[in-house]
This record gives sequence, C-alpha cells and structure tokens, in this order.
Amino acid sequence: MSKSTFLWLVSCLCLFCMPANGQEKKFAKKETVPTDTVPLFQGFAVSTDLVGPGAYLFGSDFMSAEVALEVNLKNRFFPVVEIGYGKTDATNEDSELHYRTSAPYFRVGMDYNVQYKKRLPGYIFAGVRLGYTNFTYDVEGPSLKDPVWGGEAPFAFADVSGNALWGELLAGVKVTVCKNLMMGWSLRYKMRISVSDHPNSAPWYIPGFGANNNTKFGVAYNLIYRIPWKGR
Amino acid sequence: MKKMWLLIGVCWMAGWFLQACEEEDCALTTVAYGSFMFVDEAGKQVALADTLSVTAPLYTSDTLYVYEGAYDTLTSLFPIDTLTADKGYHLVLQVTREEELILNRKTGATGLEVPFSYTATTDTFFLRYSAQMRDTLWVTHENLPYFTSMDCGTVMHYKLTDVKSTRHLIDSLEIVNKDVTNNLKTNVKIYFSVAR
Repeated sequence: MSKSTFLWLVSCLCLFCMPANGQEKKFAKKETVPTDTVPLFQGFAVSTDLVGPGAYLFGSDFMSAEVALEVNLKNRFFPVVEIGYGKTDATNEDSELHYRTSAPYFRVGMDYNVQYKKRLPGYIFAGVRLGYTNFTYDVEGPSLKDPVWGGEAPFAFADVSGNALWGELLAGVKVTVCKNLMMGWSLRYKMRISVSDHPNSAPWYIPGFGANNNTKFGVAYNLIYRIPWKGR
Repeated sequence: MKKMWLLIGVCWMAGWFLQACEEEDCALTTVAYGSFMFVDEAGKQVALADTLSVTAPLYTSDTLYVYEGAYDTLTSLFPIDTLTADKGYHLVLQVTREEELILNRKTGATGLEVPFSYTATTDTFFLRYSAQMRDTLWVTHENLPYFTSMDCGTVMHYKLTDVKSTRHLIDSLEIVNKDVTNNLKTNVKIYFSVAR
C-alpha cells in the first residue's frame, strides 16, 4: 500500500475523530478573547507525527519518526523544535540500485494561530520551519557497461557524507479531542535551500526532507499532548 | 467551523494533486558526451570547409605503438627505437586494433561530440579533414560513475584534466568547462590556425 493510501486512511481517521469532539457546540458562538488579557506563557505541548512510521508500515521506501516540543505564547505564537530520525534501505528492482541511509534531523520554527481571537476547540495555523540534517549514505548497483569502448566500471560507494538545509511553509489544523489531547494535520511545502553534492552521486533521500527534489509537498498528521500547566 | 472543514478539504485535495506532480524527470540520454566547439583565432565559432571524419581507436588486448611527429603519425606493433624525441617524434602507447567511426564525412562541421571511455583515462580521436590531412586529439579525463537517482539510474560523468593535439590545422585547445555531464555544454574550444 502506498504512502498516498496511508494518508487517505489517516485523513479519514481525522475526519472521524473531529465530530466526536463534544466541545464544538459549546463554542459555536465564536467567543472572542481580549488578547491583552491572555498571559504570555500558555504552556508546553509535545507531539509526534504518524505519517512517517505509518507510510513505512504500508510500504513506503522512506521511514521517519519525530517528536516536537512547542511553546504556547499568548495562544497565538507557537515556537517549536522538531527532532526526528529518517531512514531508507531501498532497492530498485528495475535498475538494481541499492540506497541506504539513516540519520537524525532537526527543525526549528514557529506556528501562528490565525484564529487567536476566537475561543475554539481547535485552531487553524500557518507556520515556518528551518530544517537541517547531516548524514552518510551507501549506494551501489550493477557495473556501468561502456557501450562504445567496451569494458565495465564498478559502481559502489559507501559512507558518502552529505548535509542538507531546507525551509518549510505549512498550514494546518489542530483540534482538541479530549482534555489535553489534540489531533491535527498540516500540509507542508518544502524548499531545498542547499544540499551537498558529491562527484559520484547526489543524495536520493534526505532525512526529514524526503526525496531529493528542489521542492516537494508533505503531509503531517500529529498527535499532540498539552502538558498540564497551572497558569493556563 | 465550516471554514475549517472547507480548509481541510481544500488542503487535502491540494496535497493529493501536488504529490502527483512530483514525478521525476530523467535525462533523455545516459551517455555524457564531450562537447568540442570549433573556433577561429578570435574565438568565434567557425564551420569547417572540408569534410570531417572522426574515428577513435578501440581498446583491445593487443598493443599498438603510435608515434606522433610534427607532420605525421607512425604506428607499429613493435617499438621503433630509431624514432626519438630529437627527431620530432614522441611515443603514445595505445592499445588498439580497430577504430570506431564517430563522424563520417560531415561538411560544415562547427563542433564535435564524442564519447569517452568508462575505464581508460586518455582517449584518442583522429580528425580527418581529407585523405592527406588529419589531426590527432588526446583527451585525458577522470571517470566519475554518477548516481542520479533510483529511478533514473547511473551515468558516467567525466572531469577533463588535459587536452592535447597535433598542430596540422589545429592551433590550440582550451578547456572551458572541465565537467562532462549530459547537459551538453561546450567543454573544449578547438582553435584552428586558418579559418577553414
């Protein structure tokens, strides 16, 4: 089953969960909150993404697992740090190429609650991220056969080091499903800023970014736990 | 909340659509050719008036000795001790028995694209302008097997380190782009001594 199929499944899960939220009716009148009365610090939250491990379980070549820590400032700004681990160990049956890498990655950024003036069980947000990873990879495959001069050149490179820096723009929703538990998903537009190249290869997979394209889209489906805080 | 549901739907559809657009485009060719441009003394691209044929000796297990002089090239299956540097000859050791035809009697040629060996580091090309006139071109390069992606596979790239030639019609050579990939940029300018 492909990554897309998995995403469809988690989307259905999200849609199923959200109507179950009993608090929705309670806030149907869209109460507005005087922003100058909201204390600066509103608490911490930790979250994890389910798309990476789920897609891998359903047959994707790429696996990533990550946790994030975010701070709620005035229920409006959410500085966030994301730490993850990405890996792939893939073989292409047609080209008989084998590519292997695994490495941690980091992102820092901030989300912005576009509905901060309203008291809702969830919120729509937009955000930015800056991601970085430092990794090594192995790539090997059949020898290259010279079609003109004859002969073969072996093809196997191990421990090729690389690094990548990228930015992300994201938008999504988060909804409270019970007291301190939220669910949400976001659409991420990823822009590669720099990636190290090697005379014999370009990285095929970048941990935390995905397939090595100039830009790409990603989807995250998060489970979020708000750490209880007296001041909230 | 209606707006939120609407946003969810729009974003989800956009995600599906945009992920579908990320199909990888592979290069049309998997062979990287060295690209040579013919220029006059001023560096302006010129077309050769003569027909041009280009051949390259193929590598086999048999050794052939090639001696390049100022005005001619001698070949032998054995070393010729009498042909020394003070007589204007130098030895170019080749392993060859037959030649690959790369260009056949092209008229008005303004340039040349040639394949390089995957295993040897110096390739030889014979540029024949007529029955009597020819130049020999030696290209020295590093071979760089290159991984493009899992879907697009591998290709041989090269890094040019030196180019030399005889000086019959060719005046000089200039490497303008040492990286030979499948982007078809000009790698070497061949300056001809007389505008042909």
